[in-house]
Amino acid sequence: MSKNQILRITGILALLLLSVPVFVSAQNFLSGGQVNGNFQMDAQFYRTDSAIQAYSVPEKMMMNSWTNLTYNLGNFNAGMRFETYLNPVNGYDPRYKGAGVPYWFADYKSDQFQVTAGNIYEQFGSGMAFRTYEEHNLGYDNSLRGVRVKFTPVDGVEFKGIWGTQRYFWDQGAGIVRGGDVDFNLNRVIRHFESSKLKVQLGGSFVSKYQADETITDNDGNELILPLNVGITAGRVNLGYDNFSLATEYAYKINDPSALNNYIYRPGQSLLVTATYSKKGLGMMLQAKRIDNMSYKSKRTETGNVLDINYLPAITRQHTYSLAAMYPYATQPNGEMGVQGQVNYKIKKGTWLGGHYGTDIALNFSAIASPKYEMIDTIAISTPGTKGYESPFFAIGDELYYRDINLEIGHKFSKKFKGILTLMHEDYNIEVIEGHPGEEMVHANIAIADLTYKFTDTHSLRGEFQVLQTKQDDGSWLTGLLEYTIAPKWFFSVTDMYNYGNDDSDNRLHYPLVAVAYNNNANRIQVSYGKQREGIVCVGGVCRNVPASNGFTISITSSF
Amino acid sequence: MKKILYTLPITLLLTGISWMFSSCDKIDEPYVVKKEVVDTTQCPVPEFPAVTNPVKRALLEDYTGHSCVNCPRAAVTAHELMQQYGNSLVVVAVHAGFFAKPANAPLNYDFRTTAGTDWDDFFGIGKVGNPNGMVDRAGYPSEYILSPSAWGNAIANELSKSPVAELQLMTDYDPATTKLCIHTKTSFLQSISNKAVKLSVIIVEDSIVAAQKNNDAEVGATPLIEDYVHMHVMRGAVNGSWGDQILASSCLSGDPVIKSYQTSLNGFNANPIDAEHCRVIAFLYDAATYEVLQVTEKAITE
Repeated sequence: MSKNQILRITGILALLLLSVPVFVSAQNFLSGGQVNGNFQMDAQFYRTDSAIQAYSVPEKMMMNSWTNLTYNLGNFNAGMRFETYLNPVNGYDPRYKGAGVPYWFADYKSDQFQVTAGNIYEQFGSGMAFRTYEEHNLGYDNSLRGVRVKFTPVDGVEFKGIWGTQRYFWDQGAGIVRGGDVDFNLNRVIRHFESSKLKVQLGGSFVSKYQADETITDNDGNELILPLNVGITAGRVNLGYDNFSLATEYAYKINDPSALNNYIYRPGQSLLVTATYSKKGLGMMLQAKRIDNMSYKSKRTETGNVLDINYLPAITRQHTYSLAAMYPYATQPNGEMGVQGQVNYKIKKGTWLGGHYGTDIALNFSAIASPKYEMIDTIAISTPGTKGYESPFFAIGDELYYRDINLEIGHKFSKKFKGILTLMHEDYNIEVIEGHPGEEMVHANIAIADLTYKFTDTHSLRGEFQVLQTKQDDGSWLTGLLEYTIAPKWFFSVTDMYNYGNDDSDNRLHYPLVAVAYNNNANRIQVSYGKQREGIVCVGGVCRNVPASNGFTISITSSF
Repeated sequence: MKKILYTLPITLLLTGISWMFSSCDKIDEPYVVKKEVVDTTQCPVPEFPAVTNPVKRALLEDYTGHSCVNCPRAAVTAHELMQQYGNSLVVVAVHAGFFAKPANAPLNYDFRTTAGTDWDDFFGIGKVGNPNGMVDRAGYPSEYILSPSAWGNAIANELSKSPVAELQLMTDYDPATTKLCIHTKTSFLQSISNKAVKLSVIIVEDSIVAAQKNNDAEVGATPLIEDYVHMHVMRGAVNGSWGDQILASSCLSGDPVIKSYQTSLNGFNANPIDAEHCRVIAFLYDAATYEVLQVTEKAITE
């Protein structure tokens, strides 16, 4: 036996001996645990269709997929997500190209402490100081890789601390983010207050980012003196009394010159106030906000939808019908003043308007405009290397960004037949929101009828008839959709969008799409074929552009 | 006891907040360090010719070193590409990293420069190995380090893009004093929003005869070419390793930006420089992605 062979055998024996206790403990470790997971794959096959400006890709097909696994044993949790973008589906940032595990964590919770190591999703208050989250349908993930500690010294008091760097595609961003948050639920902390009708919750956060110095110059070539540490502070008060609630959060950020704010040194501020009232059959909500210079990223020169440390909540209604969602609003982090109001009312059943089953009415209004900007001396607004501008806190500027008034009426006519009617008017400042200088404000009127007829307990047909009328942008559209569902397994749909009002008669195009889906328990496979127009998809005020496409799409989702 | 429980977190909170507030850097006016302005009476800005038929040119950075045995073959590849693409391709040989370190004679010449080493450290090319290069630094931060066999494709791809800007370069050299005036004019051909653009100006020198290791008999003697002719050798940066920002964020199509620099070839590099063999290379790049948007070069003594 040669010396090498002896060494190899000794090595294998040593490994076997060492692995015995590991194996035994691993068995114990796994025996009581629970593993959950889910899988999603979206693959698209592209064909060239020059009429709609959709183009084939050299790869012919592109695919994104996400696999989540979580393991739970008592107070211990661990998880990971495997992502594949080979190559990223059109509309996703090509820098996602690749496959790997960008997300993993281990978490342990005891009575007072919870510690997490790895990638962290967390939110302080409404998120204006700190929020990391993932929305893979948008290609968005700003998870923090580092540590988190939560400490609950007494019931009703919670401290949170986070420290890490943020995901930047397959890498980590340049800046380090540290922060803490405290939340006091006074009704739980103060004994005599427990049963009080007045509910009081107070909170505060502080987050600071560090990024090493770099050379950035203003337009005259003068080098900017950059703050290496930039902090943001936020305070919040949530009050509740009977059916009323009032939630307020204010955040203040010190000088944070960045590519997004054109390297100005003005501090940032934001305020969000939400009041609600609800009782049976009636809900009312009123929201107001001001955002001024509140973009906060862990890299100064970044302008894309990545590395956001904070989240500026959108206060416009997120529409789901395709034509209603054609012009979605995206929060303007450099500044906006907004209000939103909504009333939900249920007309009682048995009345003339309520019919046999009652009628649901929702009226929603939102308007967003620029803040008022004033020059400092004679320096142009937002000149790099200056304070930027002055802006009175409560003054509203002249430029309208977005306005939406919509009414939704839902009525069940019979056991088998129900419908939702939506009427909407919106004004959309395409110049500001989509960054298309010189384009006219879009004024659109939209009407949508959504009707569902149930033939049997398992067979139903749903139809959507949508019309959007506008003289601007691509002109008016019609959309028709028919969906036949054989519950719980089958689903068929046919859609057509028709740009009948396009100024250019050559561009009055149809965008037909057919889809079939099969469900089996927690698994679903959907195949669709057709054309999709270029559009913008938004979730929570974050949007991405999806180019036009023509071809097959296969989506598979599965969970266990 | 309960009081202690309340006091503890509040104390912790206040301590925490006061400590964290110290991790803020509030900057007071002035927010900028005024830049030393080039004396345009010493370096008068010339009249630039009108921009006609702007085309995209590409920058090939060949990271190399005199101890790198495969680098002469890569230099041949670069040379062939220059012949193929003519004025559309600008090449710079960046001597940096392990293989560029001065060794025992005859490999004791120090080709390295501060800017070249900064680039190599940042882009990590020496860590990957030599020879390797970048074409317009495109693809950073994922697939941007290209082996010589991939340069041709990448150049063709870059040249097929439409130019974002035209970059013109004029020089004025005084052999008596070695004073060199460099003037650049950037004309944006598209309106740009949310993109910071930087301008880097460097000097390269051709025909430096010094030893080079080699393992390709087709290229020259192996294992060492004693009198290897080094071409497009980076001699240093005129405006720092990362250049100057010429656009902070947005501009309209047609906006011109003129920048002037004054330097002296005497002492520009630790080694003497022969102005007859020198060229100035100027390139514009996207400050966020580092992608080179346009490049141009000009001989100093033309």
